[in-house]
Amino acid sequence: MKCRQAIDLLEPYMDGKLDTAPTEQVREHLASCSECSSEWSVRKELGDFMKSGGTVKAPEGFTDQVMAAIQATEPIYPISKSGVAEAFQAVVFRRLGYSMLLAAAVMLLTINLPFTRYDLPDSMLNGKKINITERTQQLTDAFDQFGSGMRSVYTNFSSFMRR
Amino acid sequence: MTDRAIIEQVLAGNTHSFSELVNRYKDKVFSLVYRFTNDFGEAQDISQEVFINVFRKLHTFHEKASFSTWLYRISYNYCIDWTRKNKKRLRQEPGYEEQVELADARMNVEESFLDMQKRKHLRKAILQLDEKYRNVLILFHFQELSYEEIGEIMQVPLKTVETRLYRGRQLLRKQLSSIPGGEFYEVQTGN
Repeated sequence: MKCRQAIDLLEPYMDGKLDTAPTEQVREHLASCSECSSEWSVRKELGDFMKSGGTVKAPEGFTDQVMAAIQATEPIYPISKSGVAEAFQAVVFRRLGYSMLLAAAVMLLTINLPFTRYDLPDSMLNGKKINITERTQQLTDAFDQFGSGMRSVYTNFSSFMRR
Repeated sequence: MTDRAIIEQVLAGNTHSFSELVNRYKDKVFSLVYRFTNDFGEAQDISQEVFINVFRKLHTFHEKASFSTWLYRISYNYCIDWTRKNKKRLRQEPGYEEQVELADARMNVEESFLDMQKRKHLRKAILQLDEKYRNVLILFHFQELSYEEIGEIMQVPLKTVETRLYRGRQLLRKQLSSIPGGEFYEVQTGN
């Protein structure tokens, strides 16, 4: 093997990427050629020196910090492989939950309103006189806060109560 | 327990199991990020973000792939983003404490000092290389990854990894040989 050929193969030789036959040829050439052997030493020294730097260790408490950050920001429900299905469920459950809360709030606010007052038994009104203006204002404020969705729930609920 | 088994536990809802994966790979990830950023504090922040992101994306991990390669790829992408935004900071020297941290504990004081000086020159020379050569050198020599793993992480063909590695070493040797007084070594070329 000639020097030029050996030098061209030094890089893959260093990384163990040559087949058996060329590896042996390079090894034999390096054993017999002082100049190529010097070049090989230089390259190997640099490669070994870079590897000798070792692994730089993560600081103390690293894992705890990572887990704390994950616990603080991640949702309670598990994330499975079908992440899309779980994400969809989460959205549906949240909205359903909000709708139920909204319905409950509407029921509490409207239970003593004018038209319901006459339909409900006295026991529910607890014998109290109702301030219509005040209750109407409360309802209006609720509509403003929660928007048209609540108005729709209220309308359906009041229709139900009139039956 | 295998990486796959831990991942299945985490996906089943056992978040705490993820700490096992963090413990297993934290030094490798931190080391990689440190080699790219040259800054302990940044390496800590970025490494934490890597693991948090890995946790969030765990459900996208393909069963047939290697978790370590997937993790390295995410870490590498974070490093690339950081280095592109912080080119000026990349040129700065690490602090004294960090240099002491990297020295071999088996050496005496003088050897440690010489070793540190050599590493300082090496670091400087690597930083001056083009990004495509620098990245391959870091992944191969410092992280000791295979050509195949590097190709997968950098999303380049195997032949490209080889070419960049060989060319990167050549340029590195040239840089180091130009240090005044030949402090690193003297380069002798063949015929």
